[in-house]
Amino acid sequence: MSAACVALVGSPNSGKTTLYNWLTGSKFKTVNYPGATVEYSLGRLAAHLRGETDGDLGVMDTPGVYSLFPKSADEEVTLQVLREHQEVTAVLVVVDGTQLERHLQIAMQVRDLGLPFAVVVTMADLLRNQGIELDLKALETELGVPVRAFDGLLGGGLLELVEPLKKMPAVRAKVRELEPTRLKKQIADAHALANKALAKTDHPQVRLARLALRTRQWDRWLLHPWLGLVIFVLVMGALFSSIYWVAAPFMDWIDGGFSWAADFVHGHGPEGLMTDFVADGLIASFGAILVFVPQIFILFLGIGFLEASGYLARAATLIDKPFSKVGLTGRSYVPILSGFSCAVPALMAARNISSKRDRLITQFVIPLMSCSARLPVYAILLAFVFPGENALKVGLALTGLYFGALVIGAIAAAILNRLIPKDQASLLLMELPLYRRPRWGVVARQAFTKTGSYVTRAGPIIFVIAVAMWFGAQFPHREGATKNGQLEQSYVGQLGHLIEPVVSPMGVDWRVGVGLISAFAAREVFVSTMAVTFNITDEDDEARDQSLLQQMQEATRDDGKKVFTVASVAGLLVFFMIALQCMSTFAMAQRESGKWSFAWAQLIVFNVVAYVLAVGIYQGLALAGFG
Amino acid sequence: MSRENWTEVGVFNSFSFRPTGPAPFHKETAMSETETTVTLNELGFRKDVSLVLERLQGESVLVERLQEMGLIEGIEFTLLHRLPMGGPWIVQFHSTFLALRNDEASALQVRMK
Repeated sequence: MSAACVALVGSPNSGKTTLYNWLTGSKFKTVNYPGATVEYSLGRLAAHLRGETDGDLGVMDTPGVYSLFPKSADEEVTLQVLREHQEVTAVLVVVDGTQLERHLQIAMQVRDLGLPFAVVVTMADLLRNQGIELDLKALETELGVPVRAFDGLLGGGLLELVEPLKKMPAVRAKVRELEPTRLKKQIADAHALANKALAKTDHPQVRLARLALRTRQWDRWLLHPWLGLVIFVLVMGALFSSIYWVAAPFMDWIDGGFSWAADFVHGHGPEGLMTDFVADGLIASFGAILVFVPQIFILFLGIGFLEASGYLARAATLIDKPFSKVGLTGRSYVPILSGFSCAVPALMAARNISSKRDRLITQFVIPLMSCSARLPVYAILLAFVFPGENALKVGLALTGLYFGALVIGAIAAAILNRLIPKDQASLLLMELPLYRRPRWGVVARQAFTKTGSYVTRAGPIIFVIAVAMWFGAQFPHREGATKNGQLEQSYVGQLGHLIEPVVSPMGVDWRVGVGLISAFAAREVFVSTMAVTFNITDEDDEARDQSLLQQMQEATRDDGKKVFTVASVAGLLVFFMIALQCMSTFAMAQRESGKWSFAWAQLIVFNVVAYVLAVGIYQGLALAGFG
Repeated sequence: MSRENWTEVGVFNSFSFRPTGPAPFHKETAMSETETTVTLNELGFRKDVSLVLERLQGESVLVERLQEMGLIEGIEFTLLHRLPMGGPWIVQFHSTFLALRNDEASALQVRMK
């Protein structure tokens, strides 16, 4: 059966994605355009919108464009999809009713392309509130295509807009080349058309200005020279801390659930390697992936809310100048902020940056932002440095570590900014959308989809590495050995011994080396591995940490020197702050940048710098008497 | 590529001080006498002032994108904000708000309404 497919084309803030969700019932998959790292979405018209006699109708969402003369990777993909994707048989141009004169030019360009199309006008409800009635019939007459209104809030107008789509030809028409000289006329025609559509209303421009009044009033404060920045810091701080506070009970709950499942298997399964594999290999690995889901979800929820409200664009504007000074761009700040939760969704978020150069620099420094997996490691190391529940000192040191990460990130970005030549001017030129009340349902559903994307992307890699670690620690298998004994003579343990000469300039021995190796699966595994290498048998996490601290204070190297001293722990802290140890980040970096060389360069540079600094700090502090 | 005009003191403008230094005043008189246009950067920030975009002058990619975003010749717009330390300009026309960097703003040849 011929699969007709309608491509949605429109500006980034036109309500296109909301409409797409309505049309597909939120069931779609995201695909990469071959050769590009930009994604677009493919779905089918939702079942309840399809009549019994209708065939299947594909619906495609394209990256938002301001015109079909591309000036960014996103816009190139949209144009390519329309020009080359043989499945696309019709186009639905999504136009924001409050921005008619600017958005109608896209309809003109689609008309020039030669593909059959229809136009849907969104935000009609906002216009009605100001008494603005658009003359859609006039638009239909002028354009010669169906024009419908759609209310994204309640879904009103959905059936009326689907009808003409079903009648579109199912065979692809010949697509023409777009001529750049036509742009001026397209813009002029769009303006004239917009005025015609507004002609039915009296004083349309006054009404539109009134529509914008509330936004202007909010911006008096939110874009205030210094108050705006204060509000920005407060909002980001609230988002950041809510990610931890709100997610924490859910993460504990998931952690507990998987521990229970592992215990269950141990208790009910036959003694032996297979049971161990299922409990400690499979179940624990699934747990390692899923334990981060609450945090990722809340991150996407928070960012989705800020974006839907329109505030995100203001935040990017506020931070643009400081960020530009270090080679980033205002749009980098959402990915950078996300990196404090987890680098994997942060790398995904960097897609919004249109300039390729800005995007690469942002992607490069994201892993430096202290992700949440580092927290358990920081916690135990700081507890060693500041013994006796000294919460204030630990808190200050933690803040220092986070700021340190920011500073190092800024330095790295600045260096890259000097090294990479500026071939194409990066544009900010950003639209600040009208403020609107976000719909939690839509925001939540989008956060859900993105979280699912994270699980399917990072999941397999974490899983494979975690299982590989399990094998490395369990083989060669010694029957009846203690946990500690088994680990020491296993492959992982042997590797730890092997790299001892490398880690001893950092002031530590093979046991920490084993921990550093296992941290490649997931950083927080460092703590549990250390518990094994230092022969801690406590079941309870808190008791285990206490015992571990005690062991850390007493452990000595072969040459009699203490393994853990202020100097060596400081070295370890710096190492964890900078080193790229997360295999999912590595894999995601390759995927998002499109180049293996990028991911490898990131891995090598960060780990070498981390090592050199850690050794330097240890040796320096040891000389100063902290060794 | 970005020209920072040191006579612009965006922060002070929010307390209604005029930018100090002779240059802007001279430009003002010059404009009313001969109706020449200046770039947005040369004009300096004045809160809520209405301007007319006379001409776009700059790299073709930038000029094209400015037009596509709605800043076409002849349009009237209002200067709303200028973020500190040479930060972006915020302008409004009809129901559209745009943020422009310094080097993007330098392509706008404007005159006071």
